[in-house]
Amino acid sequence: MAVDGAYDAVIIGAGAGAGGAAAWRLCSHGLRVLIIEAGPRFDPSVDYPLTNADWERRGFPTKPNSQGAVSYGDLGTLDPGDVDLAAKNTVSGRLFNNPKRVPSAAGYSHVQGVGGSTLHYVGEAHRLNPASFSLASDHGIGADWPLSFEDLEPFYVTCETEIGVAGAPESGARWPSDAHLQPVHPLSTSARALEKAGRLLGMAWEPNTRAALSEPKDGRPNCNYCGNCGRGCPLGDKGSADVTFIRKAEATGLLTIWTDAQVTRLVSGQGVRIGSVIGLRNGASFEQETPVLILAAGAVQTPRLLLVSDVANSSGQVGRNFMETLGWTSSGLRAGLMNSHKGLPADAVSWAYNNPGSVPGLAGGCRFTASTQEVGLMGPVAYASRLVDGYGAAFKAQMHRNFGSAISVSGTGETIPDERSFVALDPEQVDDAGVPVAQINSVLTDHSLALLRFMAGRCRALLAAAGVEEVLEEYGSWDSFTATHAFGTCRMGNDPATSVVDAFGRAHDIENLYIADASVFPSSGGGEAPALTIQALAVRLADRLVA
Amino acid sequence: MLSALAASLSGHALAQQLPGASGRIDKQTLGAYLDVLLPADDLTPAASALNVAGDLVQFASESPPFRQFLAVGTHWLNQTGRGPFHTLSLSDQERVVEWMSKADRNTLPGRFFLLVRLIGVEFYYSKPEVARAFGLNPAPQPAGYPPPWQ
Repeated sequence: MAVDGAYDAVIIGAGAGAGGAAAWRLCSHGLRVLIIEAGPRFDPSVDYPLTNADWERRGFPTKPNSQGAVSYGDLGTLDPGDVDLAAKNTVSGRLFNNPKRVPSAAGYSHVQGVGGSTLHYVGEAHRLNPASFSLASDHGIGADWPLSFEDLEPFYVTCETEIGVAGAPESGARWPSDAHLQPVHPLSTSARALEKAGRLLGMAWEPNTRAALSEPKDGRPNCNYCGNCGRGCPLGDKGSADVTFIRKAEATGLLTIWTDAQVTRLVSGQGVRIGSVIGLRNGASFEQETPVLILAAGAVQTPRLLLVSDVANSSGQVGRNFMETLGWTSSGLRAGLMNSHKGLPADAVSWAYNNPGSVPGLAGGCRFTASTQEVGLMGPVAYASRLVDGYGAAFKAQMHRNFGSAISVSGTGETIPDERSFVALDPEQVDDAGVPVAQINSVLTDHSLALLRFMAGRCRALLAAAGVEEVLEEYGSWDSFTATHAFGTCRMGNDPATSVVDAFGRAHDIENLYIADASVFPSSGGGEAPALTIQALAVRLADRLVA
Repeated sequence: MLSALAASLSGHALAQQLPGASGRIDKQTLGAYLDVLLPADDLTPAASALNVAGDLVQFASESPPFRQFLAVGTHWLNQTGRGPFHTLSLSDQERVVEWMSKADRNTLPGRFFLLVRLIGVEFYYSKPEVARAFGLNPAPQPAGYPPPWQ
């Protein structure tokens, strides 16, 4: 087993945070960085199916090692009294018929590979609501961040500039300046319908801030609005980490990436330090020395690795405080609407209920998004499978009459940490390397149920105000677990007794161990997409290391 | 999606053998059944003209539970009239399918209707010939959908 010590920093995971943004920042400062990535590289021009006639039958591609091993423990038991929150559509009826909540087909929805889950994200580029940094102090629930929005704002600017973010947000606390943003993207027909509906309901909508180019940048073209960001962007206009931070980091000549290389354990060195990591690469074992180790494997695999290695957990908080994505989507058809399959996914957003406390009776906030393209209503297969029922000549006539008239609206909301929601090592199941897999336990609290019901009500009201006569599909977090965003399992904080890392992401227990992914989030925010905050935190961490 | 649907049949009683069923998919009956679901119209051809039945059989070859389900289902269809389903008159075929469309989805007829419809429309509406009828390019790229959109 060779021991190699040629790098200034080793990063585990090539996703949005450390693998992308921190590696870029460290390499820009002249440091030599090794990223050890468990998944493969994706070639956008080859791997993404959007030029194939059967494109609609295929989602984001899977490749060997592109999914981390997870299992599911307790996801909660359903109260039949909440059945109004059941997932259903007009073709199939109820989509889940279980007494307990079950993982959806997506489950913990992630990509393991160079670029991580930014490869399949739609590319929303959100700043966290400044008021979300002090949720516990202000509302007596959840946890505070050990830093302020003002601490992070310069790093948001850096990341937005490097990625290329387009938008024209309303001025406000989280937007002291927007001079670095690209011009706003045009709104799709369904987003415009929701914007009008929002005016009737007193809900302001605005163009979403999107990591998709409206103008060419750094050799990347502008978006051509195929609407399929979630299937992988073959053009490279979407600001996934592989075509932004990682590409720039590799251009320095200082970044090395090992793909298909799984770290199985962190090895303690002298003092309170990690000395090396061991793992498997192409079937062979390796040991890699590391002066500085940055963990960035996400809120499920990062705590798994710490628990397996039995490090950085004097607080007992590693794996605790798991927060899933609380989501709801309602969809229907609106007579007369056309071409709603064209445009940018999640092109419009409403922050009307994003401030903590703005939802009546609840501490956590939420946001709403125009989601017609994001939920896949972009081709006739989706219409025929989900929105247009029946068969025969009448069905086909309905298909021709209604295609292009779908409207979807989604709510994404705050999840409050709860002792029943955590990531642990599965007591029985191990992966191919013999390492216990991460077991996800995630139960909806009363707060989550109330917020879910609020979001469902708003979504239904928006569709009705937009002229949709019948809701034809609904789904959300009540009866199935889907987490495109996961947070909190290595919480940051000032107190080593109640948190795992400090305000810069350094482990309280280990001098040279840092964490740079969403596991450090003390709170989830009110539905903001986390990628930009992960990246801003990672750049801030990198600057701290260099300093 | 298709693999998830097929997986839902694994171990399901509805994918088990029916008395008298051979375990063979009756392709003629499957084709006739799909043409009732997806007949020709002024804009698009019938399912049979696009070999959707062949797509289902090919897909079933990769999923033993689904293959068995199709075999059992087509055998059941062939018991609904005086001859095999594909030999029935169109009106008789339509009466059978209408009844199936309203059947309990935990029974073989109801389940067969739902799953074959879902998988059938997925293959049918993926065909370039059908996409063109909706004014779509065969695929979203490389052209995309440049604005404006009205």
